[in-house]
Amino acid sequence: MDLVRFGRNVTRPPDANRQMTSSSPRGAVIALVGLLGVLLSPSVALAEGDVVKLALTPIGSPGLYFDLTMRPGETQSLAVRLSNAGTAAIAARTYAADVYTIINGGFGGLLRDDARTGTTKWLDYPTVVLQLPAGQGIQRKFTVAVPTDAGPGEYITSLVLENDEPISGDGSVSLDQIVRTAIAVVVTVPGKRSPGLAIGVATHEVVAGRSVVSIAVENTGNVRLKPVVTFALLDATGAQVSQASVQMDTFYAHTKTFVEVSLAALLLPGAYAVRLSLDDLAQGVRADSAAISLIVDANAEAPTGGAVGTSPAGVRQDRGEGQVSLAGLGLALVVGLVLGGALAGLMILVVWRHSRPRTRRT
Amino acid sequence: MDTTSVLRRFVLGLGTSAMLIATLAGPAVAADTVTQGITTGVLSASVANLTLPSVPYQNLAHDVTSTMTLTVDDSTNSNAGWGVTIQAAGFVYTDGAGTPNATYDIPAADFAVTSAADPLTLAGHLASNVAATGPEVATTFVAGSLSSPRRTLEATAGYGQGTYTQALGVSLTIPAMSQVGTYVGLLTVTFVAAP
Repeated sequence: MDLVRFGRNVTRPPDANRQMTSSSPRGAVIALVGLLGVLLSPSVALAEGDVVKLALTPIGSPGLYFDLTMRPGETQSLAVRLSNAGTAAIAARTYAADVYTIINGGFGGLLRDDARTGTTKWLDYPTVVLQLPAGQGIQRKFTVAVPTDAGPGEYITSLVLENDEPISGDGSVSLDQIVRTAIAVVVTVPGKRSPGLAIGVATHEVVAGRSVVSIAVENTGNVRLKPVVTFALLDATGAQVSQASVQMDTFYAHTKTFVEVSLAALLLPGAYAVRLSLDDLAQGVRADSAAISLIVDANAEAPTGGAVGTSPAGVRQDRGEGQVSLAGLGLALVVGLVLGGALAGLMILVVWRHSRPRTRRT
Repeated sequence: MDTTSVLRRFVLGLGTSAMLIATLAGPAVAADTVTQGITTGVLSASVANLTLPSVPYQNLAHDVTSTMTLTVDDSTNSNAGWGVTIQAAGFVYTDGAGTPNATYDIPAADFAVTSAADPLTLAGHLASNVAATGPEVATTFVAGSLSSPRRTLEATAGYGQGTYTQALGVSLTIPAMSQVGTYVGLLTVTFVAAP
């Protein structure tokens, strides 16, 4: 069995060094215990500001991830390089992880404690924590075995490498940090390509003082897609309140996600309808939904926050139309009555003074 | 020659060797690993300024906002492009004595990224906000809860060889009557190589 060799950064207690050359049995035991302590002790905890520089690189495969074509029942042996380009040794955890589609498309990999399902089970890649010396790496072999009953289409899973111990934050409200690198393992089983899309329900939430509309979508087909999303929001009268167009990132086969559209303002409470279409011209698939119901509840006080990073969809909504409050109406009425009364009184006074006979002084 | 002494030393050496071999092979490493030095750079990332401001006890729910700084370094010389996502787990509460109490944990859904600023270039290719190049704010980025991963920064193939920072606005909703103590969440930053 080839052994993992530790780099020059591993240190030993100076006493242990001297003791190891001694011919004394007690010295040998002490040295052994000391050496075991060094070898078995966990890495020093990373502190905020430390940079994790781990890399996961396919070996013998072009590109930055594995892209395979395999038939049902076929098995391939592959290899990956796990490297530590940092300045300190690190305990690095590596594992296989299910892949899903994140909001608006793109790669998402499950975390270390999540279950392995589906395509991930095709990999023989046990979870392990490795001590990676600074500036060194190891090669690791694994296999991919396609089940005999696998249908045609695209399947995806991933390999992940991350710091085993989180980088510690500081303060009474803080964040520890895991930094990881993930590479995809894509397996294409030859056969009929059947793209498909479906649209689900819509929901509303408030983020940083703005409305965000979220619509559930699904790639029901067996190939990955990159559809263009066209979004329109209509109020209860059918008037268009907002519109947007979003280019989704990769929407993986057999996955569900959400399309989210951030609006430039807060929607008024009420009933709306979302008109949504997903269109992937290159794959020749489209899905449309003419009227997805959306209910916006009366807003709680929106939290303060900065502007959204990308341009939110404009909102055309007259916040006064049909929404004038009773208090405002009452105030306007009172003011009108007072002014009208004053004007009427002034006119009466003028007319009366003109109608009075003038009295000559003697 | 003292046979007993020689024998004792031999046994001790044999035992030491055996334990050393067992220890070095301890973790379940695959049978076919080879160690080698690396000559190419890697993608790396870190998020600084993760400490949110402390707040006094309040009977009402309230928000705490801050800005995190994401630093990304692509030293791979691959020009293959990259993407970075961030996500968070809930904040775990411990009292002044270090005793946890899940009743006061803050769920991940209450921690949101509210903004992703245009990246700044520290070295290498200049960041660009022009679509289809980058590095730039991810075209799919939408502010929202970090209980779901959010892609905040990306560079397309041919771009992004360098070091960049990005300011990320965050907001944590502290539930009403949250107890005095320490709240620690977990942020996961992921580099992705995928179609």
